[in-house]
Amino acid sequence: MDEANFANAPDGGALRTLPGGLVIVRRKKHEWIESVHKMRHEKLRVFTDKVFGSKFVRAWDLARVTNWIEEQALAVNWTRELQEPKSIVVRLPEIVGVADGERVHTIRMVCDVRYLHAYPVED
Amino acid sequence: MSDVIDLPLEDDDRLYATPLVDLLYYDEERCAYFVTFVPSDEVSHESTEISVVQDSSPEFVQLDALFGRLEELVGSNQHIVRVVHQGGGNFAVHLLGGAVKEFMDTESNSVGHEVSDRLKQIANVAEIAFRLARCP
Repeated sequence: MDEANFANAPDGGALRTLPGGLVIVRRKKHEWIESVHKMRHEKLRVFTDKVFGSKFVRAWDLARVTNWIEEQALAVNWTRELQEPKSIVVRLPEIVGVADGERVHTIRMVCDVRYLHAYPVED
Repeated sequence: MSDVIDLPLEDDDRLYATPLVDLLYYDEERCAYFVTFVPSDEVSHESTEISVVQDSSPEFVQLDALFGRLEELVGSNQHIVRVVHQGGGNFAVHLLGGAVKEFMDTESNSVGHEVSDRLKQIANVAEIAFRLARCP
């Protein structure tokens, strides 16, 4: 899918298929939404917990997250040939999102041997 | 654009306690269900865990029956390709052929309720399988 059309992908829809066969899927529950800015702490904590999903900050839009996932998956050589699910945790120098109400610098990328996605986690 | 979100802040008000299905599919090549789930706090502090339930495992029969019932409920004579958690009690069901059906926790119809119930049962089975795999 062309980056320009990412916003049209349904929740859980395929954004990109990597050369090794893994598919990056859209996960709306981790995307930035404007109202996060306006939430007081307790509501923000609930809205960014693991039930509602941590949220990327605005700068980490769908295109950036997708490109980042592809880079990381290629770097660790994950393909459809993986024998078991994998995950990696990467800490970055910038704030990438909000998890459990706190600004965080860390992303967890998860692969279940067919699909890939990533989300912010506590530092 | 404003996006008002009504959130239950009291635990008792939350109809979608963990474990919850995060991403679910059946892999024909590997003859296994792959269930990414949001675990209970007592099982894991990670945001998600993954349970692989092979067709040789005792939990497979349960999952297969629940998944089959989900396909009946969703209807359209289409196989489910994957189920994706949308946050809270909301789920998107992707069907073979590309259609997507969404089930929201606010739905009052019986099909929506049963879809939620079956997904909850699937998450429970996946979490049990995960625990057994870690501590056989």
